Amino acid sequence: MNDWKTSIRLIGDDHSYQPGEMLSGEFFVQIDEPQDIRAVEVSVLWFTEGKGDEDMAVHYFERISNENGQFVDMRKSQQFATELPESPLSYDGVIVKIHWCVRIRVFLSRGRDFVTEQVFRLGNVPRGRAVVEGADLDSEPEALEQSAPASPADDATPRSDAVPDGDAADSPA
Amino acid sequence: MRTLSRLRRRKFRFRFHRKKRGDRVSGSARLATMGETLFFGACLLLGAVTLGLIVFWYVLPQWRVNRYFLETTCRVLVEPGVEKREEMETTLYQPTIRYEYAVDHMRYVGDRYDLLDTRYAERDKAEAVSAAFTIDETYPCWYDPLEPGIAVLSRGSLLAYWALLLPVAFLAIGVGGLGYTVWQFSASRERRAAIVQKATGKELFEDASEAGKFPSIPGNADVTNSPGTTLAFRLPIISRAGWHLFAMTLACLIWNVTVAFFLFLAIRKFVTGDADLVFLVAMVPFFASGIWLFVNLGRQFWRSSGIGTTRIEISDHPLRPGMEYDLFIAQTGKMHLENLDVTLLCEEEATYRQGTNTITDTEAVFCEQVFSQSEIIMEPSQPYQEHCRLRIPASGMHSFQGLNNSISWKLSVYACVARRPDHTRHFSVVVVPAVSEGAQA
Repeated sequence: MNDWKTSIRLIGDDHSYQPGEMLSGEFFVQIDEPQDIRAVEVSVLWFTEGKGDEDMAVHYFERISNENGQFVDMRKSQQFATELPESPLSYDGVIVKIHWCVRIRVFLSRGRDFVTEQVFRLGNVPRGRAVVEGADLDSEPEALEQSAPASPADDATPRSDAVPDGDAADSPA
Repeated sequence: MRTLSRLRRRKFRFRFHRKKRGDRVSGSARLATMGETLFFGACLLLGAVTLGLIVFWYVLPQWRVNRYFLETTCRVLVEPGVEKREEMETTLYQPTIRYEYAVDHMRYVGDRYDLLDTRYAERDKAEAVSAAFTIDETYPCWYDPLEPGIAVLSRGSLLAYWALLLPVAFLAIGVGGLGYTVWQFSASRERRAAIVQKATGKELFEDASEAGKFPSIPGNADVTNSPGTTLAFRLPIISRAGWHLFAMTLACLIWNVTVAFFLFLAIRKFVTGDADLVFLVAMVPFFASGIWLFVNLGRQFWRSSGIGTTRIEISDHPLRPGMEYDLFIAQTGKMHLENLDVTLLCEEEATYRQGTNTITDTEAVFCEQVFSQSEIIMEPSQPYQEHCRLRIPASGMHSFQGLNNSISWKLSVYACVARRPDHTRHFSVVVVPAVSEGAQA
């Protein structure tokens, strides 16, 4: 069985973008047998995390298939670019969190697939903070945290084991 | 002193057991897919087999009668009657009509009314069929040209075709379910989402509409469709009170009418000297519940009718973080308002499934008083009106609407009325992201 690794590189210093800005990057798959790759899907999407069930929407989607007779060597850099939308902005709330990411899903022969993500921030909304229960509203107003948003670098590491929908993500042998 | 808890909502449904949420997935996705496949496969098989049987036994013969049987005339030989039959411990009635007809100079005798030899559960229906025929009279009949010995007096009903509906429904469930399962299995989640978004008109790249400009943010048509009298827009009220009142009234009526019926029976027995004390005692808790429902309904009416209308108008909409807006507050009614507060509230709302229950949790992440006034004496002819300023915090998150998660902004009007219960009304506003520096330039 092949060893594989997908590398994603986003253009930009801190993986933080503003609405309307162009998100561009590249990826490549390190694999011994590139013919084993049936298709690769590139998605730029947001998903929620927190107490509620997950919501997700895809902003950009591209499927590069090797099944139509045209072989694309995924070991070579593949570029992608898309203009980011106005919303929803990345948000780190108390029970609702919104994350943006570039997700690369590689489909191998024999029906296996694996996922790699690169998280980035859209906008700079500060972290949400719960209003203290029983706070007197006639006094100091309760406000969202005024500090700088959490650095996207904290969670910008590509994750090869993240399969939010429960699909199988096989590890390399 | 007023606390946030008055403004918060927490929707909670009673559940008999609590399941561990853990890593959110409480079951095996593969097992679920297998179960779904088996279920839909069984539906498909059942539908296909039943459809085949119905078509073979009922629809095809019926179709042949209508399509290929030839018409001729027949003469009834004996007085038509009804024959009683016992089939599978059920009594059925079949009209018996014996008749003769000729095909190619050959004489045939038939006794079928229709091809299916229909039997009736009620004798009246069978008699009605046989009563339509008289001995020695001639009637049209239809015979099979391939087998002239088979003839019918009626070319049949549409029942055979209606019988197709059931297996077709099973087939549709099976085919649709299996198709959906295959779709779930064969396409990645991102691909499915992209296709669904495209199919539902939410284009991936460009959408010129307001909703397309701010994806996942609720539209503001509810506000902009309602112009204000003083300021640009009148804010819509978030109200469930009307439905609560309707549901309570309905429940109260049904309960009390039922209790009254049984009470009437109990009293009648008592009056006729046949008093059933156990029954009377058993009625007491039901009667008490009915009284409690009446009292509660009265309190709800009292609460909702005592306060006049509250109107909030705003100078612009949708709102943006860091911006200030004019606010106009109007309250009608004849009352003594001990306190009238308007609070800007931002809440996160998360819905999740726990076993078979759906639970929604709410968490306030911003709460600021924008207006407060005490001791207001109001007259019906003179509604209370006031202007104030509303500022959305620069660090505020915009409104967000997902299937299971949302972030909503609203203005909560809290009225503390003398000699009446406190009252809170909510008005929704939509906050969109602030204009970025790049866009401003």
